Amino acid sequence: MSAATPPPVEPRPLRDGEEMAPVLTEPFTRTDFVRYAGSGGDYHPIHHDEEFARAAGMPTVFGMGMLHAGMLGLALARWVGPENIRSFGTRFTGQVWPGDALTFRGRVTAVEDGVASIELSAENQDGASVLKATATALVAS
Amino acid sequence: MREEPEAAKDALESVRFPVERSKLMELARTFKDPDPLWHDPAAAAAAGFDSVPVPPTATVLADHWRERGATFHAEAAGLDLSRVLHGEVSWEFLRPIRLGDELTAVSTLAGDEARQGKRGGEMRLVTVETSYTDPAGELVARRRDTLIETGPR
Repeated sequence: MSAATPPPVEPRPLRDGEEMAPVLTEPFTRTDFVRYAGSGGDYHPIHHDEEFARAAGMPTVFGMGMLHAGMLGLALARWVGPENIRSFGTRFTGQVWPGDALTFRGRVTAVEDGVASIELSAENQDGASVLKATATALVAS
Repeated sequence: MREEPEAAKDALESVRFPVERSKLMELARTFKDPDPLWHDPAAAAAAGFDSVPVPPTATVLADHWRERGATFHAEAAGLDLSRVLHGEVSWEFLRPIRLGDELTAVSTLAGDEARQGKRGGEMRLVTVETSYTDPAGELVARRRDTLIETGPR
């Protein structure tokens, strides 16, 4: 996510079918999960405690959904402008394991009365879905 | 504050929290976006913003003011953490949240249902709704979480 171009302040013109430039993340590390525990306040041991995760039937620890949902949300904010987002909702469809790298995508599916409906997704390096999301944002006509 | 008996029954908690600069910086760095505009008023002004904007998931900052963090709601609902998955989360924003906001989050247990799991066993789906109001009492945002407790292994 380049810091070179600031996100728009005012609603930008977006048309039906327009796509967000795909965002490819670095592979997630256990340190990324621990960092989100600290910044996001999620101390669920299944995300940082290997023994707890294995006892819960998981192969290892996995990322909080709110970590990659937060990253996708920030990508959305960079695209449409953080102050123009009216709603954002995600459904978690799979786990993010250490080493996984995600691709975030977004696409406008409708524009009506100055509000764009947007569908977003996150897939891992094998093309498996880990998150599906929808958003609405103010757009310029 | 006086509460209606019906509302009090399902009220999980209320917490007041600041949308503060250090935590916004940490959050943006965790999201791999180190741009200072996400925490620095001067950088935000240079980008044309009247005040520092926040990521859409910034309501998580309330969790720092809950003794047990983000797992509070699952534990308050009596779910077994080793079997809990975050199923869904959604936000509706009535106005943008910004650095310097002081918000009160009020959470209620909006749903608690049993469902037959795909791989056998009974799942529990718990819905938590949270409203965020500013000190003037204006509703700023609403959030809705679905927590899934999978069947006993």
